[in-house]
Order: sequence, then structure tokens, then C-alpha cells
Amino acid sequence: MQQYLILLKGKKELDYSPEELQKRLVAYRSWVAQIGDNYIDGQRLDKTGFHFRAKDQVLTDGPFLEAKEIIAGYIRIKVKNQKEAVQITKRLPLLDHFEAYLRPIIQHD
Amino acid sequence: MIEMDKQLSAHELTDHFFRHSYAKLVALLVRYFGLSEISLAEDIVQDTLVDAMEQWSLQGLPQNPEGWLLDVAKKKTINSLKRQQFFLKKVVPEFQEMERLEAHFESGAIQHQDNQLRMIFSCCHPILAEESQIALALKTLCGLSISEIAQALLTSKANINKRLYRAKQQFRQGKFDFVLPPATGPSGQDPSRLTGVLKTLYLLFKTGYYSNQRKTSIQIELCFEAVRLQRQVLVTYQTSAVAQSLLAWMLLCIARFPGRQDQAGLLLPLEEQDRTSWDQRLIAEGINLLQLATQSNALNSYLLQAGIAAEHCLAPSFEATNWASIYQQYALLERFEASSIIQFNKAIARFHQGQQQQALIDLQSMKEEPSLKSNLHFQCALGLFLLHQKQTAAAQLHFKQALSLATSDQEKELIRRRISTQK
Repeated sequence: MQQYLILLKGKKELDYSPEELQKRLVAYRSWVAQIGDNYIDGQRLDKTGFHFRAKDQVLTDGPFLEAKEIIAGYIRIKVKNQKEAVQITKRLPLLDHFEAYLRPIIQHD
Repeated sequence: MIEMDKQLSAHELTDHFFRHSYAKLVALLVRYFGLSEISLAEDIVQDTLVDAMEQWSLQGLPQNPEGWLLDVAKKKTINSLKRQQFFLKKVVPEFQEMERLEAHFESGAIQHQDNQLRMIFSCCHPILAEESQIALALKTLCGLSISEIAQALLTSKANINKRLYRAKQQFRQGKFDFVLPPATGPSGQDPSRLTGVLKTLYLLFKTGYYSNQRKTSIQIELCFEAVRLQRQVLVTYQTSAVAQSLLAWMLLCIARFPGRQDQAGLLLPLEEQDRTSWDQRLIAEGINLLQLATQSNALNSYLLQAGIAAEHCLAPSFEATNWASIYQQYALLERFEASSIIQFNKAIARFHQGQQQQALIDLQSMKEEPSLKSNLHFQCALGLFLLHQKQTAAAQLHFKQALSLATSDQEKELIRRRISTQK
């Protein structure tokens, strides 16, 4: 099995109405249930933080002003191959709100 | 690392859980901070829900979701107090303030009906403009977002923001008492504040119920929200015949929702609705309340509207409807509020009661009324009444008028269908 990292980055201003939040929660949970054992873990990241571009150059000390600057979190999945990883990610409901980078994690055995 | 718990999908959230939790938590926090800090309360609750969405996505639902929300909201409240140096400003020793906070956020506090009822009375305060009351009720009591409210009230987000801003300004000026009126006022009558609350909930319901547009789900939800709030009011003011009447009317209206739309979402006229699809449980509850309300021996406009709705609900068919009773109740209703729509409906009842010629004369006498002139249902009815009297040419004019007022192809189709079934 190969591990992949799905990295989520904001794409637009999010709709935070309570009803919308609930819909997002339900959609995400049903995705996780659907992919079953392919799911390893996931974490959200706080909106605040730092952006370093060079040794002495802290560019941002958050909160980030624009939703699209934010790396919102990551999800790890384990799959047979890249094809399966792509299929799973394509169905991720968070794609309505975020861009996703899908990258294989290089493993040393 | 968080391991997904595979059983977590076993328990699910109830419909609109976030929305209603929002309303409950705002009511709770406003009770703590005071009405002047309603924006702060809203921010804290919003933040809490975002946390819930993110965390529950990953970890699954907690055993007690409401308790979880309450805990997080409490922590955020403490943080906010510290940030704002609330203790210093209030000149209250910190430990006393913490004691007050602990008591306020005791477990189960989110369920306190009292907070929510106070919030209802605040949002429906007569100081506020009617349109502000409705917007505020939707935001604060129902947990709708600005864009959802704009969609429901068919206006712009900027407009809604303006209405809310004005209302909150008045909250900030602190002219509001937070005291609930007693269940019965002097001389056994409803307290006037209650009357105002009922009026706002009535308007809220009407906004969802009567718009000529095709119903979007959000508009139907307005009706259910109004019912939910009205039920809360009735818990405390259960002896008020006016409150009973209003809930009866609402229930007898929503009971007919299942038959009201065709598959394309277009509203069907009463005669085309499948009566077996109406919700008998809601009808029974509405009729019970109506009977309770009648015992007070005093008429009110909600009671008459509920009575009219009841006649429709109980009639086995459109033809077998007790139109005489409906006509009488419209005639009484006119004494409470003189409106051209009531007059129009009264004439329709008269027509079906068998006094077709009289009904035509009634309609013709009001055809210059501006609000009716531009009402496609009025034009259509006038056409049909004329057709019935064999005045075909005059009827055509009004049918044409009705068609020109239609805003969608479906509406036009509906008018054509009504015309063809009458010939």
C-alpha cells in the first residue's frame, strides 16, 4: 500500500451559515465512511501562523487575510496505486470549498 | 494522531441541528452579556459552530453534541472576557464574575426555554421596525445566514444587513427590558407585548407561505420555523386563545404542504390537490387547538383564519367544501382587518357557495384596486366568473391580463389549465 497526502488550501470565501456547516460536516463524514480503510487520518490547521520565505524574513504572522491563502489542513490516505488515490480525492466533498494537492508520501522501508 | 472511529456514523445529527443550536446558544449568551452585546454573542456562537464542524468532521460526533457546544462556547466566552478586560470595566471581582459564568453555563443550560423566549420577545419588540423584526428573528431565532435571509425575503444582502444593523443599534442603546410579561395581563387579556410577538410570527409564517414565486425550500422552512417558535411561545402562554388560534392556523396550513406543489415545484390550486396527501396528524392537532381557542368566546383574526383553513382541511372534496361557513368567516375577518385580499377571497367563497352572479358583481366592484389589478389570481378569477355568466369576450380580456402578469412559463401553463377546465 502507498500513502498519499491530500493537502487542502482555501479557494474562496466560505459560506459559514449554520446550515451550510452542518451540510459540510455530513458530506465529509459520509466520504470518510465510504472510503473506509483507505482513510488513515486528517487534521485541520489553525488559521493563525507564520510564513517564512527566508531566514530573517517572516512574511505573515496570521491570521491570514484571505481565505485562499490558508492551508486549512491535510488528510492521509492509503491506497493501492495512484489511480485509486485520484479517484478517492475526486469524490472529496471539501473540493467545493478547497483546492487539494495530492502527493505520494515517499516511504523508506 | 486521531483514529477514525468507525461507529461514529451510527448517531446522526437531527435536521437543522446547527441552525437551532445557533439560536439556542445566542439566546443563552445574550442572557449572560446583555442584549447590547448581541453581536459579540453571535460571533462567539459562530466560532463555536465552525470549530464543531471541523472537529466533528475528523473525530466524529461527540456523545452529547449540545454539551460539547456549550463547553466550547463557555471557553470562548471566558477568552473573550479576558481579551476585553470585561472584569475591569464591570468593576466586579473576577471570582464573582466566574461564579456567575459557571452558573450560567451549567450543563443543560442550552435547553433553557426561558432564554429563548426572552430572545423571541426581544426580537419582536415594538420599538423595532416590522421589517427589522422579521430579519432579526430569522438571524437570531432561526440561525439563518444573511444570504439565506435575503433569499427567503427576496431582497438583497445589503438590505438585510441594513435592517439588522438598525435593530442592533437599538439594542446597543439599551432601551430594552428583558422581562417577560406575565401570562395574563390586567383584566385577563393578553399582555400587549405578547400580541406584538404573535403578529411578528404571523408575518414570518405568511412570508414563507404566500409568495407568488415558486417555493424554494428556504421559504417553506420559514413556515416551519414560525411554527417552532410559536410552539415555544405557547408553552408559557398556553391559556392565550390568540396564541392557540395562531398555532392552529399555522398547523392547518402546513398540513396541506404535501399536496400543494406538483413535481416541478409549482403551486397547485386547491381543486387540483390530492387531499389524501395532507398531513392528518397536523390537521388533528390544529383542530384540537382551534376548539380550545373557541372556548374563550372571543373572536380574533387568527381564529377566523384557522377556521377557514379548517373548513378546507376537513372537506372531503373541493365541491363538498362548506363555502357558506368560509364566506361568513371572511365577512367577520373583514371587521378585524379591511384588506382587498380578504374581500377577494370572500367573493370566491361566495361564488362557490352558489351565488355566482353576486360574486361577479363583488369582483367587478374592486377591480380598480391597485393591488388586485396587478394580481394574476384576481384577473384569472374575474375571467372565470365572467365566463360562467357567458360573457366570453370580457372574460378573454382578463385572461389575457392574467397571462401578461405571469412571471414564468409554469404560471402561464397553470392559468391556461384553469381556463380550459372551466369551459
